[in-house]
Amino acid sequence: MKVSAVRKKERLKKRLEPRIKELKFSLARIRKSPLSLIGLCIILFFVIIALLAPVIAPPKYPYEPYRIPRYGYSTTPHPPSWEHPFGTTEGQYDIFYGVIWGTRTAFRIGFMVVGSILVIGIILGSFAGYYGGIIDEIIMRIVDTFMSLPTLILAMALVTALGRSLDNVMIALIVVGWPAYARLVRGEILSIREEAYVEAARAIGVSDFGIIFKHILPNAIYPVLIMGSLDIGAMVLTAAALSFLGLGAPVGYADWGQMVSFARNWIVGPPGNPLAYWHTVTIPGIFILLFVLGWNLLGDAFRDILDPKMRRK
Amino acid sequence: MEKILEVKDLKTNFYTYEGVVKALEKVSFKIERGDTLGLVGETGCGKSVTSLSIIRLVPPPGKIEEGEVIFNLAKGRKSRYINLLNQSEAFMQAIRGNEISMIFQEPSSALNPVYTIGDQIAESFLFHREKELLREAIKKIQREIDVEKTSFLKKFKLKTEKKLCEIALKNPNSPLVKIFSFLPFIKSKEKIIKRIAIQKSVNLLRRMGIPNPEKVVERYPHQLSGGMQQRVVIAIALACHPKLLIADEPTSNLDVTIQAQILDLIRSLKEELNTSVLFISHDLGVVAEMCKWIAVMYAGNICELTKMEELFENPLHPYTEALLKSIPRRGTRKLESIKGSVPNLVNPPSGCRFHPRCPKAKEKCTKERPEIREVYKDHFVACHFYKD
Amino acid sequence: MNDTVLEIKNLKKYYPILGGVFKKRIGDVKAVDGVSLEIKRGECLGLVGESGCGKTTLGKTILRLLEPTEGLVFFDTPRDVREKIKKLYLSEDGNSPELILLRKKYDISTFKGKRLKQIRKKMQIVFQDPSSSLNPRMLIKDIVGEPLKIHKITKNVEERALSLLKKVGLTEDHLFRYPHEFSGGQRQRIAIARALATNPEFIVLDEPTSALDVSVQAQILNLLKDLQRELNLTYLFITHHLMVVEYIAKRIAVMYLGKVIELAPTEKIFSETKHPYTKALISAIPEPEIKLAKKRIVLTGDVPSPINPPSGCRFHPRCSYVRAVCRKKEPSLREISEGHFVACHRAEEM
Repeated sequence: MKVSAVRKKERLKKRLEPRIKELKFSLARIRKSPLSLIGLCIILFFVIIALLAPVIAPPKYPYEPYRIPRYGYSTTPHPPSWEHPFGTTEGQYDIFYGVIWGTRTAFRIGFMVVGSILVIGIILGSFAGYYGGIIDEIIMRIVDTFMSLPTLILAMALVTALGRSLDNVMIALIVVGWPAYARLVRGEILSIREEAYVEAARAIGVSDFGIIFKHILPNAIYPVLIMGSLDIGAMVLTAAALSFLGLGAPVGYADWGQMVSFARNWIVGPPGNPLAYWHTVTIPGIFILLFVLGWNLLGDAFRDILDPKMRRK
Repeated sequence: MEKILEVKDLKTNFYTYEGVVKALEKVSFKIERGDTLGLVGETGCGKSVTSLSIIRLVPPPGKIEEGEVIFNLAKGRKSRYINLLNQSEAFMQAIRGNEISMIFQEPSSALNPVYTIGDQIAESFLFHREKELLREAIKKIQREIDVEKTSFLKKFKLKTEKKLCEIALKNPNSPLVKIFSFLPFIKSKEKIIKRIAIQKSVNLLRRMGIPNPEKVVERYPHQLSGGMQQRVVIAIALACHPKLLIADEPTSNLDVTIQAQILDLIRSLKEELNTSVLFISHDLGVVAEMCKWIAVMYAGNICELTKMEELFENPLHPYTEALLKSIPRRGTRKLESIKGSVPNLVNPPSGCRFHPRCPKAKEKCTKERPEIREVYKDHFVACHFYKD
Repeated sequence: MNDTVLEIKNLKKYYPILGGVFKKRIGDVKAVDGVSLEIKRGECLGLVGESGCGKTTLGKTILRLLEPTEGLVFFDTPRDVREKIKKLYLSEDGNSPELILLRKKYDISTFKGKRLKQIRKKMQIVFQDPSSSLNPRMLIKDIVGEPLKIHKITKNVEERALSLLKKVGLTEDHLFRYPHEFSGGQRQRIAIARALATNPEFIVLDEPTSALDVSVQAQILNLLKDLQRELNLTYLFITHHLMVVEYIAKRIAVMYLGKVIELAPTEKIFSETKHPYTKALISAIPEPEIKLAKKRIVLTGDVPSPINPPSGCRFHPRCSYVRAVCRKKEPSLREISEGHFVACHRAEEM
């Protein structure tokens, strides 16, 4: 009994050993590139904020934590003070609360949108790439149609049709975003499909599904993941733009785009003191900027690390 | 016989992520004028690195650490020996393609797919032989002037072009050349010499045995077969009559019948131009056909260097012996393989790098690296216990 | 136990060329243009030729990695059945229902689905490039174990994978590693182990040593020879290297532009060469031995393309023995002595 348990542990260790070695190699490469480290730190910073949001900025409305508390009704924003570390924006919404909980919203948007378009893109791209022929033609023409429409306009149209809410923004972004991934996956599959090991799998008798999911996709996935990580930032930016235009989150929802939207009238202050209300624009703006920058750097780092040709240099 | 190339104690390292790859430990050999030396060895033995080190094209993270590469820049009879490792990059650029040329294994990647064949061969002429081209251009234009009797305008045009070439010949950086080029109807200097260069390319292709060279000159590399592409590569390499041709596995990717054609071509050109050849290959048969001398390399060292016949009749180094026994030939009953595998050059074996796989290895071999010595006339071995 | 493991009759593989606006079929690349061969159990048949001759395509078409355009492929089928089907196939223009039924039962070029999967167990392939024939993201244990799992051969996959690795000269600590950690020779051994996993009877070896060093090649060739003896395997050994095929094959078939132009026991191919192309191939081999006056036949021109093969005998534009009949009529593969087949009008004179 004991012997088999020991053996099982040994086997498990053996299985993990090569993967751990690969992981160590990747981590070492991250450590060598300062920009990747910066990207990683930025994202970790945001992760911590998002996780500790209830602690850092306790919600005023326990069942609606995303509702930014208002401290009054006057329209003029107030500069940062002890009670409001980042000041208040038009309508006396607390900026600090808004950006802290907005981090959670940003992650939600980023992961959900990118996650969905990854899944849709991978499935459709795989079928188009592997089977070719008429399936490929149909899927690619649909992709072409979607890609010929301007993304922002399409997103705006969809949100206007479906109604103003963050979920609808996400749906719009998914609808607009999947074609690029389908195309990318299809391209990767077309090149991997001709590799000898895929032919070897067919010679063994692996089914089509088995080949796609066990052989082709694990090798094709890396460019897609890299594009995905870069897109997380881009999606948050687009969502923020839509919110700024009034098409995104409902008024008072903790979302970075919302915060900038509130600052629309206060970008330039009264003559003689044009930067009086800098905090309303700059602070949410910095959060958006850092978030997108962090994901871009991390995406670049992934590409450098995971590109199999560059790996062993 | 004078030397054309002498490599002394060449040492090259690669500073990679996994450690320092000691690609070449201490390589020494020489090639005389008009001779061919074959460099034979398996993957990872350092033959390509040797050739790249000679013309200083070792890619980073590689670095030539020690040694000398003495090249004879003779003009006519007088020898002039220069250590290539001490020269500037500009000097090396004037040497490459001009005095020392190199051809590689994959002809389709040696040729630029977006330029015509003519353009690529002409590039060699244009870079190294501009003065010669200008002189030829002047002569050609002079002939045209003499023939041209009727049109005054044409004569004027030709005379101006001739003047342009003369100025460019005397003073290549003259601003007048640029000004002339801007005038309408007058061909710029570049166009004039390009025409001549393309004409020379056509002649060169004809010499390479390529049919319809006038048409081929306008084609793109992908329109030619592998054998033709390799001929074009050879044409580019030999365009400026280099003294030394380095051929790095030029026929490994070609079919056997095409390989025979290419080897014949290289042989005949070598005779015609009296070019020395450093022929690198893993195929002992090919090297035996082409080369007078053969050097066998293993893990960054030369194990044995001698005349071709001597190597096959009387191999002294255990690696050479084992290698000869592992090649299938007519009537081979049993192939013998060498136990073990090529060592990792980040941590090469101590002493003689072949000792872990050597049937004759003794304790001395693990401690002391054998130097290459001439043990019989014209027969060099690097082994403590070579066959006696 | 059937004596003949594999027989192919008139096998063709054409690739359609699509042209014009509507992508109509305007021609074919005739990669394999009517090849008939028989391979006996325990035999190693060598298939030689230069690039573009169709040898790799033939190997893959037999294994159904490529779909045959035409022709019959029999695997382990009794002789009388084969004769009957061949007769029907050659006599009819159309397809009689009897022929279709018989083909469905015996001709593996018509198999689909489950039956195809079953037959794949018996025929395997080893590819040329060991670096790309192993999935870089799979552990060796999974690469070698995959055929076992797919065909549900055994419950104890890991043990069987280990025994396969041992058979090809590798050890236990190679199981849990990735392909890139191995040398070329070791990777090719892993590929061989994978091919042996399903206990096949027939293995197609597509230039298995062309990408390897000479000393490693010797190891792999010896390994293949030992395995053939030990497991009574049948090989189709595809290569362009005549000396390698001389060492390992009992019979050699020479291909040119999609057709077999000479087929004979190994000794006879070299000592009694009949076809001019084979002669040129043999004389083009670089020989380490010094020959006093080596008369080498250097062929002029390049290998023509399989899209528009020359009329009559395909080799006639490059042949130094060409006659008028060679330009008009295509020679068929005929037996000119015991077991020696040549496709040449002047074979008797050679």
